[in-house]
Amino acid sequence: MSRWRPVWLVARREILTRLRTRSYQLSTAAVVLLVIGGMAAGQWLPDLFDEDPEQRMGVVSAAVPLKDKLREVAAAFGENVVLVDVTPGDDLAKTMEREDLDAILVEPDRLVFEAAVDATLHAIVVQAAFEAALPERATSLGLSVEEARKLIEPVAIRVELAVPEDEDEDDDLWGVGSVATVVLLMAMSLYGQWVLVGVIEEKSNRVVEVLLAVVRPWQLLTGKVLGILGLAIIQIGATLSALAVSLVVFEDVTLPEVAVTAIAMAVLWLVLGLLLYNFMYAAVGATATRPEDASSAMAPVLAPMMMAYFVALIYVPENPDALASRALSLFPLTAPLVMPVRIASGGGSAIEVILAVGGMIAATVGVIWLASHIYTGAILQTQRIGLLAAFRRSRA
Amino acid sequence: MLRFERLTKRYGDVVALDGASLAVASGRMVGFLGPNGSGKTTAMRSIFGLVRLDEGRVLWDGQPVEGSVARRFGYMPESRGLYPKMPVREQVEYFAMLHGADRTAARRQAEHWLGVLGLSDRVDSRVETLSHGNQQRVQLAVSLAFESDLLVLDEPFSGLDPLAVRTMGDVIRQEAARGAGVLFSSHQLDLVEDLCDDVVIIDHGRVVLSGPLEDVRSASPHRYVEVRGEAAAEPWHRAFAGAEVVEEHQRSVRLRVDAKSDPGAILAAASAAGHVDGFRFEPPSLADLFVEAVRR
Repeated sequence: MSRWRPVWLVARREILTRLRTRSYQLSTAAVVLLVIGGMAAGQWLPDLFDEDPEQRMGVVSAAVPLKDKLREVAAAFGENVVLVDVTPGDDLAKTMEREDLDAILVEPDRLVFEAAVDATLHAIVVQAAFEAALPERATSLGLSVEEARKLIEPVAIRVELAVPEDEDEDDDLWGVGSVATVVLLMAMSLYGQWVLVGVIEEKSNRVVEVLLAVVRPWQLLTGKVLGILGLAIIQIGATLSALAVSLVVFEDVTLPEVAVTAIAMAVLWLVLGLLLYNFMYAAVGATATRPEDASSAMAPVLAPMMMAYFVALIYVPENPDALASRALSLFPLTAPLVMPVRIASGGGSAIEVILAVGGMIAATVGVIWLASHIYTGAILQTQRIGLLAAFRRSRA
Repeated sequence: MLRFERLTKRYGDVVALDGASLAVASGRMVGFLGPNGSGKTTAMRSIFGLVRLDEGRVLWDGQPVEGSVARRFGYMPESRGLYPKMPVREQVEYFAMLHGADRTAARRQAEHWLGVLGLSDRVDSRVETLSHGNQQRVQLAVSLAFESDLLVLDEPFSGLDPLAVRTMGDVIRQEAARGAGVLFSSHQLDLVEDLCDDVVIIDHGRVVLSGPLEDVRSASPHRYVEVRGEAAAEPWHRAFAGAEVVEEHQRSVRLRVDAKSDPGAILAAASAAGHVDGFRFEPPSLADLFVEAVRR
């Protein structure tokens, strides 16, 4: 039997066992529904909050000659104005209510609103009336229409932004990076706890002695970590699939390009972070004896993770290329949480990303070695044991 | 053949194994006996590399036991260990595959052994829903679910009812008949006496007695005499040098005498002292051997 077959069998058992649990099924469904719901909200909420996306204006027969101009100007303004022919009545308010109108153009120079003036409609009517009157006015002054237009052409004013547009885009990017860091921390904590609790359970129900009689500690550890990584990938895959389907179904919703890149990078950091941290979770889990010890056992793993999280959210966005940001984005224990924010904040480079990824892979190999020894030294102990003592015991 | 060569293991000041050596031949059932804390479990764990030895070697057919070799061994640890929420058949299949069986063979073996052990109707039940005795049967099935070369069973009969003990004993005997070596520990000495071919007694980490059961019984320097009837109450045994009362009741007495003693002379002395209803002169039982070995 190849040395990797036991790893595969352990990973397969982890996946199949947890796939059947109601908690896994419900959490996967919840994430998928959250994505689809979020996208649906993106599609429909603007309509819900926009009280009246189209405006309706009644046009009495005396003003009908203005209709074409009104349509042209409304289109130029980017407004959807529906023109409704109405007959003049005694009570304009009732006509408005009956026809669901925002205003009535009673005569070419008389516009009536219900209770408040709509500045946009007013501007459209003024401009349309001006356009209609322009040829006659030009002729009376002895000018051609073109000459008249030139005369009233507005002076060009240069318009600039005090904040450059690309910097504004960086704010979006930073937002995406921050969200990615929060999601990464949550995912690494969640899947890490699965590993931790799984190891403690195997130890407390003593099945680990039967397992270690037939597989080596590194095979058991690696299988467990890869199995839970597989479960994470299934959930990530389901989430991304829901996102992709939603993008097709809800045609009005689009993701900014930066978000697509950030998602791809977040998945990469998540996979690397899970590999590194979950071996550490497994090692500290082996030192505990009961499930109740889980929270105290995980403290040494949580410390660097939380430190990286707060630095990533508070310090790095303002100082993406500071020495501390640079160092923490390259240090394997903090890289998965710090590097995404650093990149999103405009720092980092392709070389640094490659260095960080390479460092994490090398550190993961080292952590597998270290975790296997701690695991071996601690897993058959019936009393709580320290990390160093467990390591020494495995070498004794 | 499994061989321990001078195994030594210390935990601080505590000596768990002190140069222990023994052998388990293929097809032989070896009863591994010793008081609590004598080193049995440590020795059994060392076969699977679960204990890092200070000195000594564990050999299989002359070669050190490594991963691929240990996968051919079945193990039932003293502290039972199963996945509580995993269905019975799936659990047995899983361990069979870890031992190298493919999925089809693992399924076949799981169904075979669960049938033999009377669990056919519980194959889809979660282990945690079974009684203690049935969980123990599943544990045995896990250690049997591939054709192992060696079975290492630490206290396989503890906590079982007599019917389950008989079933389990039959199964282990069949495995030995197939050719597997069996090393098992137990405090139920009468049961071990019925089952084992060879016996190894360990005390304070040292093997103090070992060999085929009949040989070690015959080689003992003592014989045991049981007398029933009126004579049991009389002190006639004082006439025999070295005779020692090991058990005394109102109408029976059990003596340890020198192996070279003449049973005819003993019976004559007892009969002269009073009426004799029953008389036995025999080599030591396994329980006698155990007491002799560990009290030295």
